[in-house]
Amino acid sequence: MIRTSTLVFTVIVAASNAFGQTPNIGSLYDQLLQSSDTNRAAPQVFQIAKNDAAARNYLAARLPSVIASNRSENDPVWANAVRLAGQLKIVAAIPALVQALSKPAVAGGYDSTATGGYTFTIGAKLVYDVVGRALADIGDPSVPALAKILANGDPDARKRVFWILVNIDSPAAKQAMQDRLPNETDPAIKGAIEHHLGIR
Amino acid sequence: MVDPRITRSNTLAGVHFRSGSPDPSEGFPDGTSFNSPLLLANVSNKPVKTHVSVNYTTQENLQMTPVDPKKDTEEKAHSVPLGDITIAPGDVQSIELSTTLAGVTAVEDSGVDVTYDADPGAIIGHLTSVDQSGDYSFEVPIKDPAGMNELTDGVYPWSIENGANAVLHLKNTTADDQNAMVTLLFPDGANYRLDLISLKPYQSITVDVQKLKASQKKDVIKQVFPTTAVSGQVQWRPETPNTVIGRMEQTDAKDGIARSFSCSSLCCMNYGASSFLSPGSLSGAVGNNGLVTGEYSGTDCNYVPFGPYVLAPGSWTVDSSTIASLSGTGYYYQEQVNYLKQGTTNVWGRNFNLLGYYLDNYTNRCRSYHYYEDASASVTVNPPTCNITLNFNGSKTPGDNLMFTSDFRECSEGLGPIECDAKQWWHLNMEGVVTVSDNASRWVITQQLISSRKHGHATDSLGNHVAFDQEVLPAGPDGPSAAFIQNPAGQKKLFWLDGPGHFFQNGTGPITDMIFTMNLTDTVESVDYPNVICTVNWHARLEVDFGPALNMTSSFGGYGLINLD
Repeated sequence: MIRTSTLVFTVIVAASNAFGQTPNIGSLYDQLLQSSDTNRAAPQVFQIAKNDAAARNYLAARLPSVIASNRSENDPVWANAVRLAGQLKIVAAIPALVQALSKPAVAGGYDSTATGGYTFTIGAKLVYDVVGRALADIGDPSVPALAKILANGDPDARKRVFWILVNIDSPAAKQAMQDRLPNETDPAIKGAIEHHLGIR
Repeated sequence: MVDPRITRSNTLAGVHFRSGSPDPSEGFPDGTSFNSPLLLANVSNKPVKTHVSVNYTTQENLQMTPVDPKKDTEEKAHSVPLGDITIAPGDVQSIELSTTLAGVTAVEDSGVDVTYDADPGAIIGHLTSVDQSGDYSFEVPIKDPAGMNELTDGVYPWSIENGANAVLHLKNTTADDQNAMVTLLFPDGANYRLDLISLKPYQSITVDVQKLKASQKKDVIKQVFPTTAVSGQVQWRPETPNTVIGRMEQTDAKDGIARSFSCSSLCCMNYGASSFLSPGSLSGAVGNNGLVTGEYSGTDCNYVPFGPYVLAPGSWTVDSSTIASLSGTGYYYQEQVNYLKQGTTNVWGRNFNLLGYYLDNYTNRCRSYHYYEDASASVTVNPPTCNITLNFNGSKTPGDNLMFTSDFRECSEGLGPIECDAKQWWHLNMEGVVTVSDNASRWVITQQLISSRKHGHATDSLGNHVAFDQEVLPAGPDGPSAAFIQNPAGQKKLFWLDGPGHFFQNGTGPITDMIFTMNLTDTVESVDYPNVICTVNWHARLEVDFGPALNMTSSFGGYGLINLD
């Protein structure tokens, strides 16, 4: 009995590899890495991977290295990799995304609507911070890494992380802000945390 | 001198004797000085022990910080016993009163009280204030305050024509605090109603008509003394019958004329008083409050009005505590009405303690009794109100703890156009302030982007100068972000910040020049009264000159929607 089941499972996986979606995701992934095709491929990648664990795993194994590469923040390939990591909540991409916080905050990704115009509401939604948006989309798994930056980062980094935590808006995110509060010295960040936590 | 047969008590009193140098305003020649010998005669057939005391009122500096900063003095009543004198039957004793006041300054008024240990009428008195030359003499009636001729109303003529002085003197003849009501009547039928006069035990006070006129102080119904009035009548009455004596002394030192009036009239039962709340109706928006005051007023038998005067009820109540609540003001006669919820209700002053009067047929004396009344005022509570103010210049409003630099792309806490080179963003920093009547936490603010346009030039990756002309952001809801709204519970101000603006780049390249315009509408709506809303339109305009550099003159924010030029 055991041998038969194992055989059946192996056949199904093999069939999937040969005729299912995984080869499609591979093809689309190749297009995603091409500057000329990336914005067309990215939404298709998302549509396939959001309902297909195998496709998602395929991307989880590859997107972090794209994000961690030395591609420019203005490179649409890089921006799409970041955006997809967030949309698909790829936890494995968190270290690469946290590392990407060292780059300037930029709008980007295939679904970005940013054309330079701004209001505080637009800013608060991280429209102009594709990395921040991705980390916020991943949610609570991002919080420990973000908390470290909130504890040790420079004021700009802390402020950026504050807004990511605001967008996560979970108990864990609020706890990270609460933990930072006693030691926060920047009045704008301190005031913003207090305001967000309803302390003032 | 009083006929001893009309006395009812073993008390005598007189108000306003003169001593030493008179007030210069009275017009007496320099060097004039008065003595006031009081003559007491025993008209009984037994020796009688008498007790004489002088009372006077001074203006003294307040020992504490005054409640009214314009009034740093207070009246202080003094009483000085002169000792006991036994008068033999048929004998007359003289007591000089002026020596008691020697060296006392700022004397407002003075009086004398005499009690004796014998039946009413055993002692009669006579008092005259006379100067050293004998040219000026003023008789001060010495009366039994409870005497048959002391009725309930005093009605005297007064005249201040040709510089004459007319001064009403009132004296409390009892050991308790007493109140007196005074109304001045003018020939044309108008009147001037003084506030209730409180007299300490045995205190004598003055009402100087000329000074009253000169002060132009408003009376209890906000009238001022007519500037043309020079004569009329004064009518006064004690709140409790036979407790206060009074007289009007009219002097004209220049012509050597003096008159003293102390006639009385009996109104007694015909005096009517009633309590009420002022104002009789209150209205205001939810969250606001009003003051209501307990008062009473009345008229005597001559239809002369007295009051209104403040009066504390026994308690305060409100019919609907969900529509309005009450809180104290520190004055028992006044209550604060807090408007809680839209609707109508009544606030009540319960058990106002009023004095009624009746004529005791047995003694033919006017006597008082207490009766109690309730009075109400209607309260109309309207929906809460809101008022929006936008600030585009200068600094944020005190109390606004929000910070522009909480935003990652901001670098200034100032209002107005901001060029933030460090972050590479241009902003138009604005502050919104909503003042509500109730509670800021019960209001919601929403912002709509109505229209926008940006046009100018940017450099592309090849170094070409490329024109652009497009919408800045799609029209539609635009927060504001909760992180930039301050509306804590219990406060009446809601603040919000926004900093619409633009990145130094447009699409692929840096902007070289640009005109940016954004029209927005903000709406605040009451959570509890959804139909109550306030709306304001505003705009942000940024003009970036070649350089690029933000043109601080042509960049601004303001009320209203503007053309997308």
